[in-house]
Amino acid sequence: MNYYFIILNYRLKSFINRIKNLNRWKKIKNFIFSISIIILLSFLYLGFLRILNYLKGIDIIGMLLIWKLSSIVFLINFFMIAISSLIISMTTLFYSSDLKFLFSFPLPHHSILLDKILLSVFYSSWSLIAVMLPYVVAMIKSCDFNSSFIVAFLFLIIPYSFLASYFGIFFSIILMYFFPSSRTRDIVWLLSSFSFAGVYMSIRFSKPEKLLNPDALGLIVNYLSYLQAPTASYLPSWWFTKSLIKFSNGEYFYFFLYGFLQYLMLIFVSFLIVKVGSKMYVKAFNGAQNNPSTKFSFNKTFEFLINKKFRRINQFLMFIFKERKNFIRDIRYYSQTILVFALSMVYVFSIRNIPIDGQDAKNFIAFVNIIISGFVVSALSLRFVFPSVSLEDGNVWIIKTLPIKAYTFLYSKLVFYFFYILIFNLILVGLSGHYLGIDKLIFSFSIFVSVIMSFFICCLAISMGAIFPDFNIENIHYVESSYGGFLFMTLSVLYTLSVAVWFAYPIKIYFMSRYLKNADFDIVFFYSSIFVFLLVNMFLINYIFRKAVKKFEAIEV
Amino acid sequence: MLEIVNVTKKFEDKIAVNNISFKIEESEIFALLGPNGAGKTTTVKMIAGLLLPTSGNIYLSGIDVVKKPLEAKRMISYIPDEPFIYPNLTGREFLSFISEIYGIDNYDDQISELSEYFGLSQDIDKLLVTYSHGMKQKILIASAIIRKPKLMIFDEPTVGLDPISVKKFKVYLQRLKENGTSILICTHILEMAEKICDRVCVLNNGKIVYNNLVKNIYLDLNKNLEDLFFNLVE
Repeated sequence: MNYYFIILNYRLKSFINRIKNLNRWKKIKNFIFSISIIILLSFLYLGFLRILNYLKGIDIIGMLLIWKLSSIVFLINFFMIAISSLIISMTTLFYSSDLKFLFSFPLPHHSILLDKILLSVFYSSWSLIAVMLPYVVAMIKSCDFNSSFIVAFLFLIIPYSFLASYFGIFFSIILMYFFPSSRTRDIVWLLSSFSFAGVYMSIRFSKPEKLLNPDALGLIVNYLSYLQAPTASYLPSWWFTKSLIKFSNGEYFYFFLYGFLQYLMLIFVSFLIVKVGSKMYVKAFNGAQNNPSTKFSFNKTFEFLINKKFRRINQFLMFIFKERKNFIRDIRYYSQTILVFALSMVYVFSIRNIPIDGQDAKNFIAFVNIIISGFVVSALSLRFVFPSVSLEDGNVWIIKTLPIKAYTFLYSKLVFYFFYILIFNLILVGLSGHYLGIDKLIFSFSIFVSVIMSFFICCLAISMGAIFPDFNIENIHYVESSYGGFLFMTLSVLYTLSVAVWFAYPIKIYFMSRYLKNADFDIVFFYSSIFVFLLVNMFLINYIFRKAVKKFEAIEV
Repeated sequence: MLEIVNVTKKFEDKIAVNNISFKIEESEIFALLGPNGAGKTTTVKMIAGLLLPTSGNIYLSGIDVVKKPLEAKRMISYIPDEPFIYPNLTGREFLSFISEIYGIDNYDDQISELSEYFGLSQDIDKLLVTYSHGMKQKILIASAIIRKPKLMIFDEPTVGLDPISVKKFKVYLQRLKENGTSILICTHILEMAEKICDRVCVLNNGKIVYNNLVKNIYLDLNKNLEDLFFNLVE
């Protein structure tokens, strides 16, 4: 344990040094970043408060509904932390740049493992816990709980977040231990991703929303017993919820009993994971150092063939080639792509199953769908597109010393990622529109706006990635949660909301013309709004991209 | 060929390179020597376009490297001391990528020839992530050669290379020199500088403290390079 404190000490010192050496500009950036987070959390709080107040207002079962919703929220969050730790622990435990340094010292392996476990837990859970905070504060306000409820929450969140993260950490260690060959490991990793995606889709396709429909449960008694029943009683998220229920009821003995049991479980699992895990960790770490020595046959792919005919774009094509090879050969992208595919299937399925009949309602859903898919594309771009410049990492010297323009380099990234993002967005918008059976005009409008939005969001992600690069990354997730990532997400969400506001009136006119016989559809106004939207987007894209090019040109390596 | 005129580079309040000037002639092998932190890497990074000089000018065949970076970069190959290269490309793909960027035609035979010369034939179709430090260094040297530049810049080129590869590298440098290429080498290996370089330039605390032809060191000062170096920097 003493050895662990040596590592912890050096981490704390690095952190303190980083804070001490912040220059004025970085201090300002930190301040703006903190204010923005507070504003974002405040908005979340208001949203949660509205929902909770509505539920509270329902006679008799108001509190039951609130606790049922809370248990679902805590369960979803629990799974999100577990999935997040699955991805983060793989890189933190086995591919961090300081691991070779740490293993070269006479440090007990369990102290290194403990250090990496704590880092994984922290990076997997901090942002999700931050999002839970406004929910809990809204609960206090809405349900008139004592303010000590927040202390109870903070007391319980420690075992909750640790136990959730342990799922991913333990899976990573086991995977690396039993499948040290990288090829086998990749296959198992892929199969796991497929299984996870399969389970996710099958749960959704089984239409669990039927359970929330009182009519489907037949009797009111059944419905009440559903509300009172535990949500996943064997998972710590339910123990967490149960403890909070006891605290809110003033049953402090049971609160401490449940809390104590959770801490006991945490100590037991921590002991197990450190003791057993440290025995497996060295072998697993050694396995992670192996790389497949497979030979690849070299075929002149389409980039080389096009290149022969169009020499003027040879540099652009070669960077597309480089990006494509990197994407295809990096197994980490596979699992995420599979999950994204599962997500899109579930999304389309959910849209298809919305119980609406009227054509106008369907058209309205199609319009809302454009905006929701804009948010989804923003989140995807934050994960895949925004970090792509930073992922050049140590290779950025190649780009800076080659006789290529920063514009060509960034543009090749933009085109490459736009292709994938567009396909994804067209699945969300196009397939949903098809299943909803919306009007041809709304369908064409949805597709057109989605194409422009995809390009804009991609361009914004690449540009912000180039304006706020981090070429010394240890973990890709640090890039996503950086200032640049936060700023990109904020701008992207604002952009998506602006699109909704911009088209609200033209779409309203279209709907009115369908509802009211004497209301005319001003087609010139409708198309003008699209044309102006296109022009504004072109201007903004040009402006942002040029800023990014200038910033990238000025980067010194 | 290369002319550095009154170049200074500051990092915030620290002066890394302080008003230096020197020239490298065509077909000259030029060694840039100096203790750690002398400003060698900063100097070569400015020539390669990775850093911008705070003041002064760098000309390559009369072209200002700062004002016309793309034209200048077409004539330069730079190999850094730490060989980071795209891990998910094979050696052959990386060399093809570089060749296409430079618009070089019919490079396939040259890739085979260079991989044979540097003993990489068995591994040329494997991913670069599987390469050792020395193998990566060899691939980078091959990628520098394939571009046929006017100026080659090597920052510690022999780190990680086995003795056979070091020998082959030195032989290749002579071949390049005969073909008219100028070579700038940053190194700590004084013996290599003395044996293969035409001129040495010693930097200390960001300033040039010595710049002369190797053959003149013994004639003028009656010293070998090692003695001279210690006298200059200690």
